[in-house]
Amino acid sequence: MANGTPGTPGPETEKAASRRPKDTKLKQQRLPAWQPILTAGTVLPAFFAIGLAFIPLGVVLLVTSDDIQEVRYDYTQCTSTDAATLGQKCADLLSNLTATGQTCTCTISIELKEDFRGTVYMYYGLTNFYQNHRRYVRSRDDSQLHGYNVDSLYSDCEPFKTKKINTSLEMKIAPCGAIANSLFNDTYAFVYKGDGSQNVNVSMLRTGIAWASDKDVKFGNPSSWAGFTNPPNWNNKMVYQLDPDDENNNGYKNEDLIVWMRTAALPTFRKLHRRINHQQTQFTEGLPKGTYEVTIDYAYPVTLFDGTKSIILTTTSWLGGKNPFLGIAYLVVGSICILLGVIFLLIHLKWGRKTSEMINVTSRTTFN
Amino acid sequence: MGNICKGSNRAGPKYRLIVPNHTLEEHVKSPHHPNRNHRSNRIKTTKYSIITFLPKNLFEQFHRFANLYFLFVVALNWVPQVQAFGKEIAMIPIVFVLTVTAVKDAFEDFRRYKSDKKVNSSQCRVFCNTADKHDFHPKDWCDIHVGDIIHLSCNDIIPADIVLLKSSDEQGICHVETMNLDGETNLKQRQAVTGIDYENNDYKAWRFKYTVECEQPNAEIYKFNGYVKLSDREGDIAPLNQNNILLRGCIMRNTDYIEGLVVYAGHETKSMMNNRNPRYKRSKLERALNRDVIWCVIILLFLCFFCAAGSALWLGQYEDSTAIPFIPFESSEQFNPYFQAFIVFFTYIIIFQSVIPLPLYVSLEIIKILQIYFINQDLHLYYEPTDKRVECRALNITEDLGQVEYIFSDKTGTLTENQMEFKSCTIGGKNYPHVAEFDDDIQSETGSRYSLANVSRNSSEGTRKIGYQKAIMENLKLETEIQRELSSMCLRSVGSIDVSLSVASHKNQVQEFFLLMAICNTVVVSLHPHEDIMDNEGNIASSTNNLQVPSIAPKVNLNQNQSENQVPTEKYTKIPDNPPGKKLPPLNSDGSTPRNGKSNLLPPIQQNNLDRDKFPRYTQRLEYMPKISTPTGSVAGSIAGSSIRSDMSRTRYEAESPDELALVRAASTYNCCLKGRTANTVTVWLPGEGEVELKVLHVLSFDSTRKRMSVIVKHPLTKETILYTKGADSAVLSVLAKKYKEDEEFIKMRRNTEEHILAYAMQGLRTLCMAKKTISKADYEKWAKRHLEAESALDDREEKLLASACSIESELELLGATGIEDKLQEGVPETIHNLRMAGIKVWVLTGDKQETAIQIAYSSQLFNQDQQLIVVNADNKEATCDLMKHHLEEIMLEEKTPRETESSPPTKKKEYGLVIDGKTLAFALEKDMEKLFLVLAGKCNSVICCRSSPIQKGMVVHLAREELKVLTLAIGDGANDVAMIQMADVGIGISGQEGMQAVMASDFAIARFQFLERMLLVHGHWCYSRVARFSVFMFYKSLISTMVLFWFNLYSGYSGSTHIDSLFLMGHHVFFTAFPPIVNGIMDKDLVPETLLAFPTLYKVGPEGRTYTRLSFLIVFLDSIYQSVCVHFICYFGYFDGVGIWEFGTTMMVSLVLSILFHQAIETYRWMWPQWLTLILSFVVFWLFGIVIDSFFMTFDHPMTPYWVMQNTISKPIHACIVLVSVVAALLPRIIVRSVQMTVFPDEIMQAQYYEKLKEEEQEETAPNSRVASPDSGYENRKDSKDSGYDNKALDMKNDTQEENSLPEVAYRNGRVRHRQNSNQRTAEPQIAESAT
Repeated sequence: MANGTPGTPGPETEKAASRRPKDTKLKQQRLPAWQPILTAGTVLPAFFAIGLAFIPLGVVLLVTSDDIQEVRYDYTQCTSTDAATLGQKCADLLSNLTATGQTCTCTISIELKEDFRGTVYMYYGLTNFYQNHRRYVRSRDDSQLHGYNVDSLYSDCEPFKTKKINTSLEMKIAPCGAIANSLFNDTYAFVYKGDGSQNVNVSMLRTGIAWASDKDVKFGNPSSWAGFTNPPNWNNKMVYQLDPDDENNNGYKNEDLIVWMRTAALPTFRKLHRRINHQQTQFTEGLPKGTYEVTIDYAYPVTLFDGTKSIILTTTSWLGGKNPFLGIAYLVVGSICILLGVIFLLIHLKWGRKTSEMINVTSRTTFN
Repeated sequence: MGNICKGSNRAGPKYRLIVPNHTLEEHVKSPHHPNRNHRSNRIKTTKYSIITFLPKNLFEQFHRFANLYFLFVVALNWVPQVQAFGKEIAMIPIVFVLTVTAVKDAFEDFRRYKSDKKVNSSQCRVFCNTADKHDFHPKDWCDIHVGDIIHLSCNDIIPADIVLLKSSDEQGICHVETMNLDGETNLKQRQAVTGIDYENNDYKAWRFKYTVECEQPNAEIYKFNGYVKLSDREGDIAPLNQNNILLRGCIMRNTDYIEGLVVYAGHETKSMMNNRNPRYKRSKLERALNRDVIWCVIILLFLCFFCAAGSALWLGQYEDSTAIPFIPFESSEQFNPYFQAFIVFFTYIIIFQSVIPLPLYVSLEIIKILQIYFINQDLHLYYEPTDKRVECRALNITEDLGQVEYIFSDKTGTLTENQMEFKSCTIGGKNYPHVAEFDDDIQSETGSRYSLANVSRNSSEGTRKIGYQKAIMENLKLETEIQRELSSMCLRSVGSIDVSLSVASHKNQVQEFFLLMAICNTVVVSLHPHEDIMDNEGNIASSTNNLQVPSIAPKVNLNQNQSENQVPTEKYTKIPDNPPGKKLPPLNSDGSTPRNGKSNLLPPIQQNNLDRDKFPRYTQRLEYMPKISTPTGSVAGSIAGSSIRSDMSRTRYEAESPDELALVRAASTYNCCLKGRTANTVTVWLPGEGEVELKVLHVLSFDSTRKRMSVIVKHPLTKETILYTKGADSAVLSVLAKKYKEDEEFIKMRRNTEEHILAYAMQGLRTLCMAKKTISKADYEKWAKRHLEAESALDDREEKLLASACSIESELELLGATGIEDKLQEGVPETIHNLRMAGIKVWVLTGDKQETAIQIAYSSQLFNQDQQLIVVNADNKEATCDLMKHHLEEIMLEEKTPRETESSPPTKKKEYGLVIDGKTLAFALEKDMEKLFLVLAGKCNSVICCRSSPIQKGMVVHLAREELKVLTLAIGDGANDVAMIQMADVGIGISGQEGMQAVMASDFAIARFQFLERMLLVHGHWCYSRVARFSVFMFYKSLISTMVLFWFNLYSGYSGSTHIDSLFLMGHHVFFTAFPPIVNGIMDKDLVPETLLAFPTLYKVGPEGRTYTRLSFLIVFLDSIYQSVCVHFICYFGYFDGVGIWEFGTTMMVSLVLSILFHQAIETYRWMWPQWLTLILSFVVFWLFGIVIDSFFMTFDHPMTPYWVMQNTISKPIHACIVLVSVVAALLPRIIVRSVQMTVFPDEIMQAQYYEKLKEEEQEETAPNSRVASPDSGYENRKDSKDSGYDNKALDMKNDTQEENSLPEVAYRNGRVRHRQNSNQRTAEPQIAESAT
């Protein structure tokens, strides 16, 4: 520096107080870099690769989805089989009922055209039910459901936070909120009509339908139920009466409740309701084809909001339920990629070489 | 500062009373202290204290619209009816942004605090009056109070506004440099208060016991009124005016020491009250951003209205909403759809809040600060000789550097070195070109102009360091003829020159010419450095008292030379170990006895001066110690005895302007030396006589109206009164005696001189004309009387003085003229050439004369030979207008012609250069003409405004900025450029010779003009490209996140529901996807510096705003809609009907984050490890955060209790399937567009990228090993392999039109990295040669 030799700032010439910036790669912005350039030529292998990966994947997904056996029965408009109201539509009956707690029984028969192999699940499906409505989603108290001894419930539970028992007494609702209040409460009894005329009751498992994490941790029963009342729509049923037979499936830990409390993302949804008990002799391999008679305790009103209720029997796969969409999506995206690959190949052949030539040419003209 | 100004203006006594503190008893403390109401000298420029920081900072931050908006959103979220997110979670973004900003503000304030502390703890000696002792003690500046008497030495900075009581000068005069205050570089004279009666007329600090009354503090620098109350009697006062006051911030010069009484201190000083906060600059890009933020607001409002309307319709379809199980309202009134629509509107404002990119501004600030850090660190912008880096003073306009369209440059000191060298002179019509012998190839007069460039190359960096002083004189080949003429120069010969006998008196003319050069100036000769005999403890050093206290290193301890025989050169610095006896050893023990008895006390100035060069930032005043080399001729050798040489070796000149210095130095090279100057006399050494003293009767100092200065001296022998004038040729030639128009001989002489002047100007020399006049006694007395009247006039003093000076400066006799060269700075032609190639229009605004300016313009590549010059000189407005219209019409005509003859080969568009002088410019800048001027100037590629004043410079910049709506950059080095620098969008100061004024006003300060090229073409381009792409990306990020929420709401009854966990939603902008764009905004490079510099046209991307256009927002909006559709609907259909809301949201969130990150990846040009790191870390952190947070049961995130949601979601294969296909589908269009664009329609940047890639590949082939060392685009390879493909290729590409010329230039570019100097020398000649032809 001092001796004026440029380019060789030896340490001996470097003054201590020099403000000379340090010559490091980071500070001089000369970090080693990888510079990919997205040209048709460089991108087209990626397109082919994606296409070649997606199309088989799409086929696999489609096949998987296709292998799933599913039957769906919309019983919204089913007719009553009760002696008193025989022939009337349960939906109409329900809307005319003045008191809650009264139900309508109807029977439907579901035809399985082929054997359902493997584990079969029973879902109920609702449409037009906006479980994702903002106020609905918020209308719960997870602390209460966890089993904490809550003194005050979330205000979001309103108007299902407390219930007036009489003029002087107002009790907290357990579980509070609109979600719990609107708990789905239709019940089903399956009878297999079978090959002969014998009727076999299909036994259903009420457990193993909720997330293990929910059942084990998220939901828990409080030490005491005292001081709480039931939600208004629960037909005088208390939360600790949801499954009196199974201590582990009662109260907040009731899996039907847990499943219901996990609100659906979309207004059309299905929720897992029962597992077929494959311990039974006839059903070890799955559900054999034939007619199944389902006796429904029709208690849940859906016609008010133009909704439907259906019952779904389905096998399952690693992908979940029957849904060809993903397979198609993969096939479409994959095909587009292949197509693009071809187009880009053409572009590359037509323009790719020209580009390098052009760069040499244009650089002369434009860079002056 | 505003509040202080207000405070001082409050009603109160008109005058403030100041009682000298030493007259008061110790115990007189407040509240009875008479000075109690005056502020102390402590300054505080910090905004906050530790206690007030939080409230005050928050208060300030909420002045910003965006912050206020987000505060409003957070507040909304606390309203239960509209609440959308967890109350606390909704605060995360705003809290984060506020915190980051607060930390930044705190840091800045801390820096201010430190600088305050430094200033406050500066030392100064204050008079203390104790019972037994009166002496001065050093005190911190902050402990100075009004009423204190302080003692200052030469070069001290004045700590407060003080009334001058005593100066070391016998007449009570002291000089101050007010540059820090008003930017004027000339010294101001101040006068000690007169009329105060001290005992025995001997001032001592303790004898000043009078009360002072003066105005209340105000901001007027040039006004001060007050008086010293000498007794209680009415009217017994000594008046005070602005000549008696020294203002804080000024620097004391040319005076050993002063003492003064503090009247205003701290924030009440005039300089502090004038201290305005710097203009807040907002970059052009930021203004465009604000426009698009408004679009965001519109989108937000549209979405909210749309959803609110949807909500009303949705609710309206239910006849009996109360019975619907999923619409739980507390009371039946709430079921009113319109009421709900109203409520939900606000909910949507909360939900869609992120459409307005909250982190945009704070991220931009972070990015720009780090960009500035990297600019500051650039080794290529570091100037070793002065040890200066780029100084970035404005923090928020980095990207403006990349969008500059017009550069307004000062000439002197910016394009040139501001190192004046005497080059040639003409005396009595005879030219003395002083052609250097080594310029063999340059024979002709015109040829010598190339030396201009040559010399500047030759004395480039390396040699400058050592050869700084001598280079100048060595280049001056003394004309033997002049030496012969001068050899006999003595008083008798100069005095009795009879100009009527011109031929015989040529010798006299020469002698007189040199006498004029030596004395007609304001150069101060300091035979010794100003030395204060008082040490820092207030002890007066005397021969009897050599008690020396170790010095506390003073702030202005500049050039402490620790050599053996060093004596203090600067104020009260003493060297402790110096034994008293040896303190002042005689320098020369030979027989040469200096005439000045004092001079043997002097330090070796030679060394001192060299030292000064190592600290150039302190050489604000040009000092020169003439080094007398024995003249080549034997004549001079015999005359210049050793005595003068030893004598002169201790002299140093202090000049206001470098021109004067050059003249005095030139004269002293011819042994006609200025030896000393007092107020009334000037001492010169004449070769034929030795030292003589002339009485100076008047100095008519230079002003910009007269453009000349004069001295009137009395000849000691003939007793004649002689006026010597030097000035601009026009200013001198116009006032010559009549005979120069009548007498043929004189006309010839005048014509010759004018020719020579023109020739000098053509060589790019600055010319000065010299003239004299012998004034008859009667005339002089008459004039002197009138002049005295003018001097003492109370009003219109300036004008009267001007008129008086003009009246005596007439009927002059022409002596000759000088040509002084101001060397071009190294690299200026290349820089200007490249800037112009980059499409930037360069205007040079200079005070020089037209011919000089034009020549400089040619040699600095501002004009080239293809350019047609348009010169606009007019004397009145009409002529200006006509001239401009005429030229404009011609240009229009020229433009049209090629279109008519389309068959002819496309001729290159004709380029124009405009030259306009200051007078014409004044007319052109008038309101009704400015449009015309701008149109004309707009047609020209380069413009020179010569003879322009500082205000005109500012006006021109303002005009271009406001009327042309272009982004302007002003670059300058001096106080006269401040107006221009402040006016421009980007102000750049050159930290050079002329002090710090320009630097203080600037946004960026660079050391050399040539650095501008890299600043703009590389850093400017990068910053623009980075900031532009970052901003686009931030908009994309906000829009896509919002749109994803919007689509979901179409399927949730327009209820304002969110499916994505609010924790992610809030955290995603500030944490999960925040850092990759920021890192890209700091580091990503579209092109490497070598490419950007090799092809300056690439810069055009910035000024044309091609990276961030009006369409950018629209494109990004459409793209984000498409991508959000992909993300949402693939998820929607993929999950079909069996999924919970939070799993749905989690999958979508993963898709969203991946889309954003991959989108960022597509938009990244160059992958370096920070980018890899942040990109990968961002996703990993997001993912792990999800898993970790979902592993604990917690309910704070109501209604989402996220326990195990993430785990359950990602454990299902469908999650991965959906994410994969949606991300691929979302990014397809962008990849397609990008790669097709790159392949089929590449723009210049892409072409250059492609070119870089080719280079890199070529390099890999030629030097496969180097790849390991440097996978970066061959930067280092290029450095090492000069014969590698790069050079040839670059050459190839460079240009066909410039042919031979391109070779050295490209070589220069590549060689620049290797060793700048060699290549500089190589390239210089062809470059200049081209411009000459």
